[in-house]
Amino acid sequence: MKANRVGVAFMVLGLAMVAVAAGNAAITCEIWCGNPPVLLGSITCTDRTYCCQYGNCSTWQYAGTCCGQGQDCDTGVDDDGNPFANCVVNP
Amino acid sequence: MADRLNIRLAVAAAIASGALAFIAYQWFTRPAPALRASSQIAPLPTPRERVTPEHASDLAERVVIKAAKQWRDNDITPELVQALQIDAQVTLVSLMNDDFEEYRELMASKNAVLGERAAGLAEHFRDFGYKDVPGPQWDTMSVEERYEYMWTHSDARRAGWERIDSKRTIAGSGWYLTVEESAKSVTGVYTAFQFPGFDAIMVRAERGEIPVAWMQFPVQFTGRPTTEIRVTFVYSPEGEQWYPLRVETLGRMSKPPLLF
Repeated sequence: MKANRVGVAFMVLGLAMVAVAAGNAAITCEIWCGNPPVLLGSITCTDRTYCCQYGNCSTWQYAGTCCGQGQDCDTGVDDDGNPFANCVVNP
Repeated sequence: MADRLNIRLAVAAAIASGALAFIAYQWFTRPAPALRASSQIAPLPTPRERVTPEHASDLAERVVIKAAKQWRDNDITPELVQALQIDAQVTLVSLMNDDFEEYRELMASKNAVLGERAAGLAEHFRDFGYKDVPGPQWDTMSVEERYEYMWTHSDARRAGWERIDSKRTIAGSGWYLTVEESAKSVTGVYTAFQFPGFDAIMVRAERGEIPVAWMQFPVQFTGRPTTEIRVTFVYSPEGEQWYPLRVETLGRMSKPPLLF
């Protein structure tokens, strides 16, 4: 009887681990330009992060990174004209 | 007796499951890589090989020779690797030396011409590194002349090549760059040259239907910390040509705006 309980506990633990792992699944984000559309930039984020991307379809410049929860995504062009995608701490 | 054995087994299993749960908890709650502050990422060492007009060809050759072995290991045929070595070396020397003439000749041999992206980049950088070019001079330039001007005046964008580390060249195949490979952050630009069948080639390259090869190594650009750059080429079976596709800078350090 007790052994059965242990078996059930293992099963629950296994399901919990699968659920946690599923919550950390990778996600790929893409920016497309042109007609027909062509993939300009893509980034794959995992581990409780989300995609932070910048793309310019006139210059075909792009930037990408992954930000964590509690961080904001800041994108644009820096003083040199280079695109950026940065994570900034959300105050 | 059997009951005692069962109890011992149950206790052992409970301890084991507790340990497993603890390990799983630690694993899934560890700090996400993207959450680490940039200051915690060790800066790359300063490359030792200084880029000069005299040495650029030798340096490019070292990079390409290291890359070629890895391309062959990535199932790119020896014939295609041989062709790519020539194009890759010319491309690198042109970038290192701000030598647009050699690059233009390479692209002309592939029937590639500057397209809309070149016009977009010229307009874009006019507001950044090239504000000081007199208006009438800039206004009378064709798109190709503007692109050539930007290519040959990379210092105005703080994109001049100072040093590289050819020994740390890595190379591979495939369109995609993972977040881990990109050192958590990537910035890139596609070629401004339009080559025959460009759109279809791009789509097929992304789908993995035609060869895509890249080489990557550390570079220190003028007045900036060392960064990694990745230069990617795509092969057109119809044109029987490799084409420069894009250049990317990897990592969170200050990066230069590159042309390609």
